[in-house]
Amino acid sequence: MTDKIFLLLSTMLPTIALLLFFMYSDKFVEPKKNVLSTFILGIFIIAPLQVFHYTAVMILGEPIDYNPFFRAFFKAAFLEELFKFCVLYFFCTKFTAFNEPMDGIVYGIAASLGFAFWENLEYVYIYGEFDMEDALITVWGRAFTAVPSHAFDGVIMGFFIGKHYFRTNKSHINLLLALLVPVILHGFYDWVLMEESINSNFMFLFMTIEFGLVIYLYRSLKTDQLQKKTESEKKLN
Amino acid sequence: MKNYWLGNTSLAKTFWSLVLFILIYFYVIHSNLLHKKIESLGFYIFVDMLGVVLSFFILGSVWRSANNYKGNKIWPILSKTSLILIVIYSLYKAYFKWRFPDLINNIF
Repeated sequence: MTDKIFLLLSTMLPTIALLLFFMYSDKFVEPKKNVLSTFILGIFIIAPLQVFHYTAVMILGEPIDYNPFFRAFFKAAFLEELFKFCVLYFFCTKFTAFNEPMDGIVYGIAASLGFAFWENLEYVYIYGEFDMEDALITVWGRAFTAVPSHAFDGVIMGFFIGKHYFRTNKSHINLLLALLVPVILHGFYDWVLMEESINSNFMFLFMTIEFGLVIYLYRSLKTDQLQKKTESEKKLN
Repeated sequence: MKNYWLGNTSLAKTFWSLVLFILIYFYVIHSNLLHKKIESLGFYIFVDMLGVVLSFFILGSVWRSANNYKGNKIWPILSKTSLILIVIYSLYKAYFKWRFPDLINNIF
């Protein structure tokens, strides 16, 4: 019984902790209901994702679904990131509170972690026969790899969507990068795990690249935020 | 907690209170004090994860407080370095020690 309780808590802790960390790292904290609704939409991404995945398998033939490259880049990377992109671009940018580029990161994280939250529950409680020790080890491993990786992809996507939304020119390059960069990084991350001929420890290489990119993008937005705050204080004075 | 997180408390107070807390936390969960009484794998996985979460929270708090510190520059540098080491320790104990036991044994 004790293990069951801690299993459930361990399943939820990484996603909720990361969400709160990034949410409260924003100088101008987003409304909780906006973040929560984005998080919940992130959970529901699973529905259209499964529909599109199975449709693709029906069209291309079942053997494709056993191909690690297809599963990593199409199902895991492209479909997941595409629907997160849709949540951010068609839903989150309509919030009144979406008023600075940093908000893209917060909502990007919320959508990604919503999906990661559901995925954690799937891996622990739904896939295969339930074995307590296996479930605990799965949750433990995912807390330090898959969940932060999802969050990093959300940051990268949110950054580019924020930049696009508040752009001063007509270029759509940031919109393209919002989808392309997370798909590539996510795809490679999953591929090294699924492809038997590749050492799965390479996933740490892609996590490190994602982490470095996240730090760079986050700090550049924080600097922008600080500059804007200083400029508005000067104008008031 | 909000004042700690926003870096509104003094660096000394933030650093010593939070670092003392996390060091006691790690001592309790990594010593044999609990191991004799609690045998649940789920419990240790959860408390190790919570240790990492708390370390990052403390890192953020001390970092902001250090950025707001106006005195000798050595103190913010030392406090940030200490917290980075605490975060690395928490990640090592919670994950890397178990994920790469052979590598760790070969290095040390």
